[in-house]
Amino acid sequence: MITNKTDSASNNNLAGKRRKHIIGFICVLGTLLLSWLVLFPYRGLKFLGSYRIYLGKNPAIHALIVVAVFYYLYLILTSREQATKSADISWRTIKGSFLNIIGALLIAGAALELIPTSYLTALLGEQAGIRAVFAGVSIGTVMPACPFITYPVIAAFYGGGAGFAGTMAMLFGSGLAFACTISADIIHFDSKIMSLRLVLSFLAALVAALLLYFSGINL
Amino acid sequence: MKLLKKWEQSFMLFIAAGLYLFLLVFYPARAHAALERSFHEMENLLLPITLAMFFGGSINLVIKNNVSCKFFQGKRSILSAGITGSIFPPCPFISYPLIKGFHNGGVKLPVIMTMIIATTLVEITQVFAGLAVFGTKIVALRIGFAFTATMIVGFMFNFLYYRLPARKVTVSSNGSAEDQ
Repeated sequence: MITNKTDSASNNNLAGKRRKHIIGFICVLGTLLLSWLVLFPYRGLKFLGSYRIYLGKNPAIHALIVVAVFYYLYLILTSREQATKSADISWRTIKGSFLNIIGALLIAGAALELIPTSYLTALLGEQAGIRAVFAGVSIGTVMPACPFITYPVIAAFYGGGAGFAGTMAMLFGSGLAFACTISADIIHFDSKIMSLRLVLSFLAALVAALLLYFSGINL
Repeated sequence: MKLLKKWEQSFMLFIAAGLYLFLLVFYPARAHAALERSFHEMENLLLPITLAMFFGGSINLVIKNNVSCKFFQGKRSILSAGITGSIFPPCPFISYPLIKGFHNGGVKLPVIMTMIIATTLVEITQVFAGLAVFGTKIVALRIGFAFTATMIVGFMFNFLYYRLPARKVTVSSNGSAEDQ
């Protein structure tokens, strides 16, 4: 009798695991298919018309939305308790940081308006030499972290007279001290980690830009 | 006021208020342009950030930190951290909960910092944006030099973290801690 109960329990466990694997497999297939659709044929989500601005411009974010949706679907179908717990933790994080994110985005908009464009182009030109590297990294750090916003701006500077070294320095530094990144540091870690990250990542961006400058590569 | 319990969050809002006050007084046209730019960014970023936070908040529960933390111990920990951070989503609201999970799982600070630096600097997943705007050569140069620099800074920080003499703290007879 005891053996029958043990066999029945292990059979139920196996059936449960098999069900999880099948659901997981279907979710992974769905994720891959929809991610491919948003990254290639429907890149930019033009079929949504004017509503697509609410999902952002970055196809990588669209793919992440697909992953998030299927991930929660998997959690709901396999472990409702874990899905509820996850949603609860996420909701508390969002509630606690909403004002912080709004503040960060307001700072980002104002910071960019304070820097005149012609001054930036002169600072990053070939004639500026190694100073363009330091200037490029410094300017890049306060630019938005989203590349679909920043990269066209940096490309415009490159086409408008900024040198290759200054342009690459901006690329290396882009978004490091963007208000949203700093707010994420504070939300998930603390101000000490934030300060350390800022110093080390700025240093790494500078090292990358200087290595490129002294390598002599110029496109 | 519960929303503003961390002093750093209040600080961010005060900076925003101060910046806009400055712009309104001295450069009112720029204040208007700044507000427009900010609202444009909010339109583009708020929903993706919210969804990213939903994803990030849950993934930490699922990943078994005691298994994954084994990759970030020993001699190759900095290299593993650099590679892992490079392929993490660059959005900090997704990657930071993961990294925090490793930190809570006992991974040391130099490894965590290397991972964070790689996440914010290398950003391999942003290759689509780079290819669309700059082309293959610039993207390859950006990723190559960014990863190299991340490794240099990561190893340097690891060396300083373990090699710098630790402060010795003694407890005096009246119970207070004193640095030596």
